[in-house]
Amino acid sequence: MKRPELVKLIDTTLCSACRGCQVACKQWNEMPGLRTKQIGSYQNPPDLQWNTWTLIRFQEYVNDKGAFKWLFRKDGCMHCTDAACVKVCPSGALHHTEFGTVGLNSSRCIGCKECVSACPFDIPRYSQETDKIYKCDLCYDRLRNDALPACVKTCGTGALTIGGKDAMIKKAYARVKELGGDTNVYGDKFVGGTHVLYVLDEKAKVYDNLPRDPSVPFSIIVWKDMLKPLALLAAGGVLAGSFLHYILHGPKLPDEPGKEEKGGE
Amino acid sequence: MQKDGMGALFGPGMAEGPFPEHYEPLEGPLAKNPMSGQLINPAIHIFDKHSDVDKIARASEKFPYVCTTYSCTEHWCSGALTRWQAWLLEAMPEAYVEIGDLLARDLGIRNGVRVKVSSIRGSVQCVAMVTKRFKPFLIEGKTIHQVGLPFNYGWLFPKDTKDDSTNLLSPSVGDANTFCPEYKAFMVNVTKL
Ligand code: SF4
Ligand code: SF4
Ligand code: SF4
Repeated sequence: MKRPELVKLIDTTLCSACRGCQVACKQWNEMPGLRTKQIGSYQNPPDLQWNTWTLIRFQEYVNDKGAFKWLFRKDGCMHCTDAACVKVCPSGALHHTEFGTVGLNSSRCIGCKECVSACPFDIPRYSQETDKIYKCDLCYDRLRNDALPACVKTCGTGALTIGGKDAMIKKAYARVKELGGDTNVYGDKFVGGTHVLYVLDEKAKVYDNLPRDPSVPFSIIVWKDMLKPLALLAAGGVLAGSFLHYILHGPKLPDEPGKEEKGGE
Repeated sequence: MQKDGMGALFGPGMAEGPFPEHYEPLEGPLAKNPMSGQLINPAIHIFDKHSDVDKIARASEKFPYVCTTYSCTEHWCSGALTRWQAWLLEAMPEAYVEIGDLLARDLGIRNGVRVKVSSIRGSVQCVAMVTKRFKPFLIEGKTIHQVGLPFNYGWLFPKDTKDDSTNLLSPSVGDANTFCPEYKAFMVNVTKL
């Protein structure tokens, strides 16, 4: 069945940091809660980890006019169109789905961690125990069954919504127009457009752990987009050469047995 | 609501009302109410000072900071039910006290270290959360700092918890009509461990 390209919108200006999404994600994906420590922050676990695919980042921010703000940002996979993780994944575990999102077929993951270093948003997390990586798959199983992702379903403030790509991009820009100030749309202008968009309360550079201008690492572009086709071309060249050889010289046959013995005499 | 189906602002059986009046909390930083001659609510029930938990340290230099208590999103009441839930405990694992950055600087307290919070009634140890969200008050010309603790921690679980109940700090006093506890304002001291 043809499925529409989907975009999840995270409106940080509506988020109350209740962390319902963080817990709902664990519940749906059957990820355990692990022991943590209070480290002097509401943010816990302190970072994304193999069992935490989405996390509310808490940040205290004073702008240049001295005004204080407590910023909340739901972090997680951005579901890039030009997904560096998919480009580098040698086993096909990371792949694009019919929704335009980036899925993860865990049984194919070989734990090489290529995606961990490739991702411009620092998303995939490796577990030594299972020797596999983990990340948000935008609740692929739920999308397939026409259900909302668990985080979207649980969000009580309307900060999380999902819908057709064009409609959501429009919605994000309409919201920024309504809010004005430094609010901005983040996600549609790089890595081919992400399938998770933010309406940010402040400029992107203000937020911790949020790249201002993310891109697929150049080395990956060189390797996967340029050298791979070249390599294929080279392989093709070898084939063509062999064919030419066949045409010109006929099939290469094993030397006739006994020939050398004769010559040796 | 009345027998006749109408609501009423005031009626028989009420200990106080119907008009609003400002009183200071039972335990506060002031010795005198700047708004009237009556410092605290005259209608509240004050327990006889027989035990340590009924002591009051009003306008005391030993307990100079206003303390308030509240709940975090993840836990319910004392947390005795919700702390057993691994996802909730992971998100909010231990007791903490939020301290404004100015006060923390004065006291030499770094974010994330364990500190002792004490009132005249008792003390608890917990993790300091240094924040810009708590700002000092200017009261009667004096700078007075406020700290805040959640009341979701205590005993039983996790088994190795070092947390104590915030109730060890707060006074046993409630509003005159419903005895809704006055745990939002009392006085403490905060010290490094
Ligand atoms: S954010 Fe990272 S993990 Fe997610 S699709 Fe993009 S490159 Fe892959
Ligand atoms: S879309 Fe699903 S997997 Fe991704 S963060 Fe939300 S709940 Fe977790
Ligand atoms: S559920 Fe919604 S409001 Fe709550 S933390 Fe997540 S995004 Fe924010």
